Amino acid sequence: MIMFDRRLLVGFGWSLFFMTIAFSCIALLNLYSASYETGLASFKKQLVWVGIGIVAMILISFINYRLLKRYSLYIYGLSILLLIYVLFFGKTVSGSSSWIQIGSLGTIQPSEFVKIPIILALSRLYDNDYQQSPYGFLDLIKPAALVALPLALVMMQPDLGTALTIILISGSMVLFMGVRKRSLAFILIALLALSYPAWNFFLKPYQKDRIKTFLDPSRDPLDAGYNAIQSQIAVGSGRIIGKGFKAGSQSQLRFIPAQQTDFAFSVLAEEWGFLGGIFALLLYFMIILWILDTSGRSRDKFSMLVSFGIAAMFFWHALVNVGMVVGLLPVTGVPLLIFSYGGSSTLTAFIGVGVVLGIRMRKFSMSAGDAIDLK
Amino acid sequence: MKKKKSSKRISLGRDLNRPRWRVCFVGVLLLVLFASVSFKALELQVLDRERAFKIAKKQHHGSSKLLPRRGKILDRNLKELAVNVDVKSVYVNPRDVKNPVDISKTISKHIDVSQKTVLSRASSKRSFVWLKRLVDPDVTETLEELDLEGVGFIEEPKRIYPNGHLLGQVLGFTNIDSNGIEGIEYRFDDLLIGTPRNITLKRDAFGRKIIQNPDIVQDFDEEKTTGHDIVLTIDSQIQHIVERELKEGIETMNAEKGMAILMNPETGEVLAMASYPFIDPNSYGKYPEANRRNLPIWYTYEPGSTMKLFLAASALEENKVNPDTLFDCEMGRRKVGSKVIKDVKPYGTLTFTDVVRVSSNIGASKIGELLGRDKYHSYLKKFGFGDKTGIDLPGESGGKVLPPKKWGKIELATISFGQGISVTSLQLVTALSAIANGGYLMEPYIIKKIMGSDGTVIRENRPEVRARVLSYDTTYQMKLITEKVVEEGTGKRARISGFSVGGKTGTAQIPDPRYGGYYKDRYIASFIGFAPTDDPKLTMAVVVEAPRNKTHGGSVAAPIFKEIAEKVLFHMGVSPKNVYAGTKIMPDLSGMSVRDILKWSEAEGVKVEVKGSGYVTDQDPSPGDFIQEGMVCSIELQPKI
Repeated sequence: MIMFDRRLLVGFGWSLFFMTIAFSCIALLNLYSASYETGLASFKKQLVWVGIGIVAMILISFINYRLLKRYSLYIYGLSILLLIYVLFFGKTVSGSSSWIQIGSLGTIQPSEFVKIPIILALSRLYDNDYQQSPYGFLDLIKPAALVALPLALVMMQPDLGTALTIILISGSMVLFMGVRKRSLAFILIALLALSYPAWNFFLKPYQKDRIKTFLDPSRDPLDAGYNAIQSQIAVGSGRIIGKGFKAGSQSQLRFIPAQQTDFAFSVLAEEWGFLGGIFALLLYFMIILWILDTSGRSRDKFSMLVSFGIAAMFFWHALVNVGMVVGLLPVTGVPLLIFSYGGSSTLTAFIGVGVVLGIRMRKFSMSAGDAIDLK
Repeated sequence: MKKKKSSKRISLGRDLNRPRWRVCFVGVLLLVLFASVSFKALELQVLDRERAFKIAKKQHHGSSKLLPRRGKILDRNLKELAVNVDVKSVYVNPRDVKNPVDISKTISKHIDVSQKTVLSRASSKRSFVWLKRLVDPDVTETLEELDLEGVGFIEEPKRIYPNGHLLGQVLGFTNIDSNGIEGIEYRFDDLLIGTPRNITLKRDAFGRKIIQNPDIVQDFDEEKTTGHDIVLTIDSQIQHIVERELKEGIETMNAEKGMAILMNPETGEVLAMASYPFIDPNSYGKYPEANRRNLPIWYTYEPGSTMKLFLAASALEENKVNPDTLFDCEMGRRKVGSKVIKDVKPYGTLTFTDVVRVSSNIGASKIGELLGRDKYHSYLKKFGFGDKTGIDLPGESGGKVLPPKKWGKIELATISFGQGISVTSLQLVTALSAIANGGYLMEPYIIKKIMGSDGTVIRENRPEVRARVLSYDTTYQMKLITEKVVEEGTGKRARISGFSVGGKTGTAQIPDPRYGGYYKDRYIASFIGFAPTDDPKLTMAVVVEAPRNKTHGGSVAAPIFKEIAEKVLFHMGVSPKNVYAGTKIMPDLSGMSVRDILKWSEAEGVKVEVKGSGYVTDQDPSPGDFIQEGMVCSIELQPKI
């Protein structure tokens, strides 16, 4: 099943691999500083998670993606079961029952992992379909149903941030495959019409607060707006070259909220300034470009869509998270992959890169891959 | 459906062609979105960076300020009149206080703040609250021993006036925030005040952490933050003499209040300025507000006969009279318009000199008529009456001189002998100095110089002539006349043995604001004079309001003038023309050792009685007093503190 062909090693995406490792190092360094005042507990845990993640990334890269394709629906089904499990037996932290306790490493969050199965399943769905794009409204029912099931489960936890990323990722994939203009317009109008009852009946007061506060952060500077304002103050006070490692007053004195998780990037921006922040962002951007490049060079629809989905995952996480950090977007609990402390999101990211690496190293060795597949 | 039939590979190939373009499109889209995030970061971190930086600093830097270190106020010999001592202030960091109730109970026992107030401060949400500033050292010592958690101490400069009431109203005082609110402290507050030190309290998001005292003191440059020093023209030794004699004189006369001002006639420097009752600026709150006034510049009154000097000088200057011109004083009663002017004693014909010497009101009214209303008014203005002198002190009054068109016959007559015009003592000594110094009206001043804390002179005042008012001849004649007043006239009690003194007494009625007219039983007794007449070293005005035992300026104010002038002349080292044999003057022995005392007594032939050991702290007679023959001087010594 796992190929140890020399040609695979030649085709291995070393740049993507090392960029991911480099980004992990920056993330760990930053987390060291962010958790320094509180005894480095989360730094040490994250160190373990990154280690696990790198191993997982390498192992997964050696799995032929055709196998993934074959088992994608099973993987999808398994993750749905996990989501149902967590709904009943999950550990509740700050109002959301999203966590499963795993020994001493702490907890994992199935809703983070579910993104990859959704991407796989969605790709598989389109791969099986030979109809030419753009797709009409009726063609969208299947993929919509496929996404809606895990989405509903995630929303029931509730985990708004993850739900948002699932919508963004799968929406990107569907749009990428093409949608008829008329259908798209119809969907947009329907969404707009639905937003009114959604605002009034489905959003929780604190979620409404966050959106309102985003529109005007000074509306409630001590409570809901506090996070947004503090983050912007920290980022802004880093100025061009930053305050130096472990020298950020806002982070070391813990003015930045959730500075190890959702707002970890604020710490980087404060301590390393505009230049440090842009450097990290560029590295992240390069990773996404490499993944997109893999998508562009793919030999088949499935690997192309999977790579694109994973690129979309990285992209939306970055945009929503950094947008939130700099005050461009409302505060949502979306972590910056690898960068924010959290085992599940980190591992998910490494698995994603692993899948892409697996696709990338096989793009030049179609025959070898096909040979295996055809057996 | 047709396409579905075609081979998988072809379909795939064609299908993948367009996505490759799409991937590029998505890449560009991605770039744009990333750029927007980057631009926002650029705005926050580069374009608008100082704003967030300032806000951030505010968040973790407590901005409590310490009291500034004020500059000193010094006398002309750089003796300290107002200084600072470091005293501890007590603050509380409520985050560290475990039991606010206990702490408030303990602390309110020691400091003068109610338990309720302490409790509310100790349980507030801030991380730094003053409990009480500038607490007595023995109180902070006991508090420090208690070692209460959350309670801390920071040293702050406290304003101290080491000489107590000396020059109290002139110096003024500062409030608890170290802002000058009266006197020199008020007028020169912006120069004295200094830069307040910031306490850099760093705190985290939960308000814990606070940087303690040593760090605060370290980053502070004393020289740069201390205010400027102000050197006065006042000689504290002279001031001391003036205050002592003024008080004694006023108490003897059973009066309510009084004032004295002493000027160097050659320069216009104010050498001493006293207002009785005194106030001690160290505890200014204890005194009624009325006592805070600096009387010699604020208090305006109808001067009475002292004004005749300026009338006489003007008449002489205008050559309307000479010292021997005769005036008919109409035996004490003269009708002017509907009023009758009276003299205390009836006189017949008097020379011009004698009119001044015996202080005849009738004579003065005739001199005034001779001089004429407009001329007299213009001279009054030239002498500076009716206008503020502009001395560098707050609260100066200008007095009141009616415009000449409002002077009728009666007004001309009364203003000639000093009623119906109001002046300040400062105006009187300034004008008198012009007679004493040969005719120059000097700009009076009390600020000698202003120095930076490193000793550099920032501003220095020099004597300034405002106008030449009188010719030398006039002042010479005036000196002879004023000498006569002291030698043979109303000012006899101002005589000082060995010196020639010139001056003029005044006894003025006090206007009654309630019923109009004047009080029947209240007078302002005054004496203005200078000495020695041949080379005047001082001009002085002594004013006593409402003395009860005696009322006449000659018997109330003149003796005070004498007591002061005698000692001040000695202090200045002006040698008397003829000293009575066997009379010695007591020097200031303070700080001398027993051995020095014995050496001195042997050399001078003075008998001494020495009490205690160490250094001289007290002596009788006081410095400047005469040592009578056969007198035993008692000297008290104490070990140095």
